[in-house]
Amino acid sequence: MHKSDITPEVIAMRGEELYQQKIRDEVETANKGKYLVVDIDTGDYAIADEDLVATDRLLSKRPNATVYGLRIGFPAAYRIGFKVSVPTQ
Amino acid sequence: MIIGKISENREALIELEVIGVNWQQRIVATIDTGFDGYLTLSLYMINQLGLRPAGYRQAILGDGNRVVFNLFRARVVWVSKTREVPVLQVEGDPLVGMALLDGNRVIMNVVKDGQVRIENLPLVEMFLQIRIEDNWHFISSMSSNVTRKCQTMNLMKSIGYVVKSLQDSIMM
Repeated sequence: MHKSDITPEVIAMRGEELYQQKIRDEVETANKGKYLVVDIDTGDYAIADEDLVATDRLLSKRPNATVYGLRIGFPAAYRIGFKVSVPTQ
Repeated sequence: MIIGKISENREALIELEVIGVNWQQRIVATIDTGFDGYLTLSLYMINQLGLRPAGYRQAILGDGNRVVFNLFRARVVWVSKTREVPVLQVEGDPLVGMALLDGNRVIMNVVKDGQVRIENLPLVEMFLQIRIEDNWHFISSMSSNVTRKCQTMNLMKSIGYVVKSLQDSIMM
């Protein structure tokens, strides 16, 4: 499959799979709150306090890598807007 | 220092210089404390500035939905220096998030056209902030010791007053 055929959703799914199955157990306890970026083709990853620092570290190994990033111990890398819900009666 | 103002809709707006590979541009962005990242820009602005891609990230929206966004990198002139920051490609007006505001002081006069000011947090205050957070239990226990000491001093004063009153009455 050509890289441009892969949708962002598929890249995110592949990145989450790699993290959950191969990376999480090794890193989660000691790195909560840090940013982790993973090369979805090779499974290589980098961790840093700042998102772009981790990204640069990973891209220094393979500049054309397809990169997916997450925040360790958080449900997503970023949050846009506070969570609201309608009260149930 | 960055100066902005409160809009008619009570949004805190600031002007920001964003630098890409092709172009640099002053944009108006809204401060959004519900956004924990740095900056969002529309695809149109990202293309115009010529920002370099940095992969894909998921974000949780206010309704609880997870959405995958393209991430780019831009240089931003911020308070007193130029910083490279991650930019999420999100349609709509640009947002400035809490990660960009980290380490700064934000003052808002929340009235129409009221001033919004972002400045460096003075080093002394940043140091005190850290000290207070790190030593909160110590400070709490110290303050309760001080309270106890004050209470003891008041008791001693009261005893002294009673003794002096007794002495005075005996002498009379």
